[in-house]
Amino acid sequence: MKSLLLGVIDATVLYHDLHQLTLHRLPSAIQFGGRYRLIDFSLSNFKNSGIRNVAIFPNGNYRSLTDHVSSGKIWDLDRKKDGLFILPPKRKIEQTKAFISFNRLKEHMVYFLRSKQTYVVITSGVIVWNISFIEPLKQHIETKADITEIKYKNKRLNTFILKKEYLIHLILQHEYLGFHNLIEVIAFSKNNKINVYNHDGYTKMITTIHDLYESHMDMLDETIEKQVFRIDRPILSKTKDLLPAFYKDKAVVKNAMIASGTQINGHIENSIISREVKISDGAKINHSIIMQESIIKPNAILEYCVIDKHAVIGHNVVLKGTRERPYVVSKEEKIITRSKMRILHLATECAPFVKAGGLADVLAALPKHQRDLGIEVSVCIPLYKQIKNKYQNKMQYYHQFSIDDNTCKIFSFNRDGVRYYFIEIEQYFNTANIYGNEDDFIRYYYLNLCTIELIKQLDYKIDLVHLHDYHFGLIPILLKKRFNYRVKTCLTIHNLKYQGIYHDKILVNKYLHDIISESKINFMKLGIMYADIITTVSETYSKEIQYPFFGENLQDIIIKRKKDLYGVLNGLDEEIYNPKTDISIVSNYDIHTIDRKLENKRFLQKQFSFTVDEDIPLIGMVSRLVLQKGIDLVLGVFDEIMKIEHVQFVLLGTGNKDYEIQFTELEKKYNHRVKMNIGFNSFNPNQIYAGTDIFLMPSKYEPCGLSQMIALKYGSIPIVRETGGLKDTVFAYNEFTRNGNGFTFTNYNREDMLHTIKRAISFFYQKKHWIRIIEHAMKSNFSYQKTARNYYSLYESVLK
Amino acid sequence: MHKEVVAILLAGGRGSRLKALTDTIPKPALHFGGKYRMIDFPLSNCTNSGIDTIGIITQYEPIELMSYIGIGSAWDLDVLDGGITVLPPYTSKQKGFYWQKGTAHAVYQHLNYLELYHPKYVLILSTDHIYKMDYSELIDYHTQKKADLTISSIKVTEEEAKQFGVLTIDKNNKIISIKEKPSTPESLLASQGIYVFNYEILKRLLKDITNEDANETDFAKHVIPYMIDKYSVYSYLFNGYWRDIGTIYSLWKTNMELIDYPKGMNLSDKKWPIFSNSEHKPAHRVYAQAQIQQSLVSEGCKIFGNVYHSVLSSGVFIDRNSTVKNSVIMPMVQIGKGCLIENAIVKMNLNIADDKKLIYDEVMLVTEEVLT
Repeated sequence: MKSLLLGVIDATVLYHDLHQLTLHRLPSAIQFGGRYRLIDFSLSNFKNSGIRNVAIFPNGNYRSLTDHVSSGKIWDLDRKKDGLFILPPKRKIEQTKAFISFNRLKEHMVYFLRSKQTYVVITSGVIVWNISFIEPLKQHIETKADITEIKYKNKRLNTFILKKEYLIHLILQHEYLGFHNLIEVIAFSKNNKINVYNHDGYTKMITTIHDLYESHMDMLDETIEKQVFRIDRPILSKTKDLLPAFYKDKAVVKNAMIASGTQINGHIENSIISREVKISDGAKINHSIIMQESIIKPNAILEYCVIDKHAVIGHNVVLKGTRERPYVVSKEEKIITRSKMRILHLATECAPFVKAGGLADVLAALPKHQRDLGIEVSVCIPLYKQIKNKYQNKMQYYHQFSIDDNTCKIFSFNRDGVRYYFIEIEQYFNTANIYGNEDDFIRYYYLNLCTIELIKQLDYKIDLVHLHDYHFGLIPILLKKRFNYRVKTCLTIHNLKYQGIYHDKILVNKYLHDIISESKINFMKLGIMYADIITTVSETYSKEIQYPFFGENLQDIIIKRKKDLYGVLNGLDEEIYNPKTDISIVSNYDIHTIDRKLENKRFLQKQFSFTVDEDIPLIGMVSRLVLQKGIDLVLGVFDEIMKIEHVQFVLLGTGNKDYEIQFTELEKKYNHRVKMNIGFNSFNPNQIYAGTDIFLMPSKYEPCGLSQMIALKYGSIPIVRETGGLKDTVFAYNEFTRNGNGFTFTNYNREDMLHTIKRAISFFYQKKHWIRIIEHAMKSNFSYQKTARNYYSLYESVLK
Repeated sequence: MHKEVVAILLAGGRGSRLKALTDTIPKPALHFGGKYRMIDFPLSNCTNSGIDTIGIITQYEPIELMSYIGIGSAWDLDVLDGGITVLPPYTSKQKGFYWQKGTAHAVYQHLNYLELYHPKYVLILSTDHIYKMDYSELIDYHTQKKADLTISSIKVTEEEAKQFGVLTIDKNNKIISIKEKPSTPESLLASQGIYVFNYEILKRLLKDITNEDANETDFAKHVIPYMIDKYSVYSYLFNGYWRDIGTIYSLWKTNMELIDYPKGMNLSDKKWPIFSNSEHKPAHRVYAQAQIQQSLVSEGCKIFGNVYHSVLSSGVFIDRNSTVKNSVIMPMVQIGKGCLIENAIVKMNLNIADDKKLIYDEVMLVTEEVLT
């Protein structure tokens, strides 16, 4: 029977979360099920529905896709009449957000005008399903609908059937009608009859790594497998001339899907193995997806991994992700470390043991995520009085030695697979306060010496010592010049402002004459000069500190180490900062239930005796009140901000007394519109993130910044100055491309900030834009997994 | 249109020693190594050797073979000038209708096909062997020797020699004599059944010594012995892996060598790929209870049971608590629960009921008859 249907595949949409797999290809060209590409499902569904005229609209790098579909022969599409058409963009590539635009379709109007079919089915190239479009078409005709939307369990699949004439009408008239794409037509057009056809077989749209992972695991379910790989409607793909899978004598395979050309001599469980993958003996693969031609070397261990094409996983390498966030290895990536990497972090604070600032949180989260990558991680901190009081019973005595009459005792403690060492030098660290003691030079000098002694006396060899901030800055030079002991070092600068400078000529001379000749000592400077690699906590900050404005007088030395200087963005502990599970806020919500965030806003408005009205913009700040945070900008234009109609403002913070007084004045002046919560912990900061619409953070400089990340996760839209980590996490919203998750300004200038606040508020009143910005904000990914992996590759580069 | 080389593939035979395996399909369509068929080897060798004009002579049960070959795209042989031509027995006004009587007679019947291309050389191939061979080297050797006929040959053991045509040669590799299946072989050099003829000579000879009323005209038995005295006939020594699939045992053994001696027939070598017309089947599934070792498993298989040292063709189903050992399972075989199969070749599409025990000391072909 001659088909009435024309098939269109929308391959214009890019999905941010899939970016590790889409560096070289479009989402629809991602491999699936050992031998398919995602687009095979839609093309096969077309073929099995008798469709012989198909157009694919790609954007971006579509070489891999065209290579795969080729002439379309596999799906019977190398026709003399009709057949397969790949219709690339003719003009500038517009970023497609949700669905192919009428503008993009209009570029190839001729195709639609020439085709003889009466109806069009438009679908996506990233759906795993097996459907015949004949039934939905029949229903579309019978119900006399204008558009039939095909859904699965009422979930949108970006799949629609409509008359070709109607599509042509929409394409030609869309500007006049005010619609960008079909989804908008369905959402806003009142005169259309929309019919919904619910498909009942297994269906999954792949827009995130998690979707891809879950969908693969679904294929290991027999009933689902039967729904997708049906005998009557086969899924067709490019065949390859490969030997059947070769099981060698040490192969142990349970519950797996395995393609041809594979060579198996290891353990495989609950996994999908693609063509030509080699799995050597002793390798253990569990809950993983291995794509084409990857090589897994002996004794490698993979759990919850997605390994893209042509990757190599070396001997003994251990990679572990989680079901929620599988570990992704990109195309052609080689992970070849010979054995488990051993890393020792050195810091002066680490939550939950001791915390003064953000550094403690980094040290709490990073090691755990590094452990998940198969690194053997330990952390070493001084044994302060407060730790001793609280944790002494849990610790084990490990070792003891003396240096210059100072007795040093080492205690250890295992927690969540991370080993903690506490250095007790009673004379110096049995103090109540962590920082700001008069004998700091001597304290840190002996801390550095004792740490080196510990490294030397540990019963295993540390591969790399990771130093945080200046306190351990002497270690690289001492190792190299005094001890001639070889271990790699990595220095992370969390804040360059604090450097550990000591002028005591006599002391410096007494203790360090063998390694330095100067009369003053700068711990940070020595660290930067002698560490093997130096990192800052954001990419932008690593560039900024090469200039005098940010360089704190060290810019010259930093420029000299430029080629060993990297930026690694800190993560956010998404287990703690998640509005869906945070029990400290009034109403929990996530990206699908953004309207519940308003409960939190109403709560704040009520608490502060503001007018309770969800349409009034509420601006929040959670900040230390210091110059760095741009407080003078805020104070400078505060009256101007308050001139913006209705606007409400809440600040939670502590710090500079002058600032505190000024803010208290302002609170009195703007009673019922402004609330100042001076002094930390007086109000739950998470409730501020959850309840405000806009989060202001106009920092002068910001090595990484945590507040803006929390604000993004809680859907409070940040207004930030483009500096350091702020620049790397907040992207200005562009109403034309509809990209961005916040608002930014470049110069440290109050007018610019005021203008940006006004701009943000103008979007606040345009709900369609505002919801989109909130969605983008909440989707931002700051997982520590990413941070841990970035450090991992840095370590690897220096350990080679 | 002129072609330097045209290959003729003798694909009309049944291969009767393979018994029930070739009841409904000819030997060239016989499955090998899980996903291949016998004809894939000479066809892939042709493509890899740069030969793109091939006549395939069919006669016995040709339907499955012809649908498998199609227009030859699987072997990249769907080319404009040349490509694959299937040559079935036919009737004509001048000759009436005759079945093919012997290999040379079959070629004689299709001289008009060769005449289309008027090649310089004709390469005669059979579909009985598993091997990789660069025919262009053979043809270079043939031209170098200025030979009229070159026979590709291989060194064999004395026992094997008794199964083949044995060649004796002089020091220039010129063939002095050929003896079919001798009881006391004079040499250990066996013909591989691969011949290069100068086309003009072949044409003349076939017209001279073949006629429609003769009982049989065969290359090995008639044409070559006749040529040895009168023409320059040379032997080309082939050194690679080469297996003759003549019997159930050799079929089983050669399949097993893919596992035990993978270097012999390296099917994953990208420099000399063996192409096949693969079916569209999903990746195979191994379920939680399964155990598989030292085996080849093809696409579309579903395995709940145990598989050791075996070759499974596509679409094979093995249910729980069944064990398959030292066996070759042909496509689409369904094996029930609790079966034991050892040292067997199981014919395609067979359904084996639960708890069947098919254990043999010597390799055995399992067919419908064995099961009833």
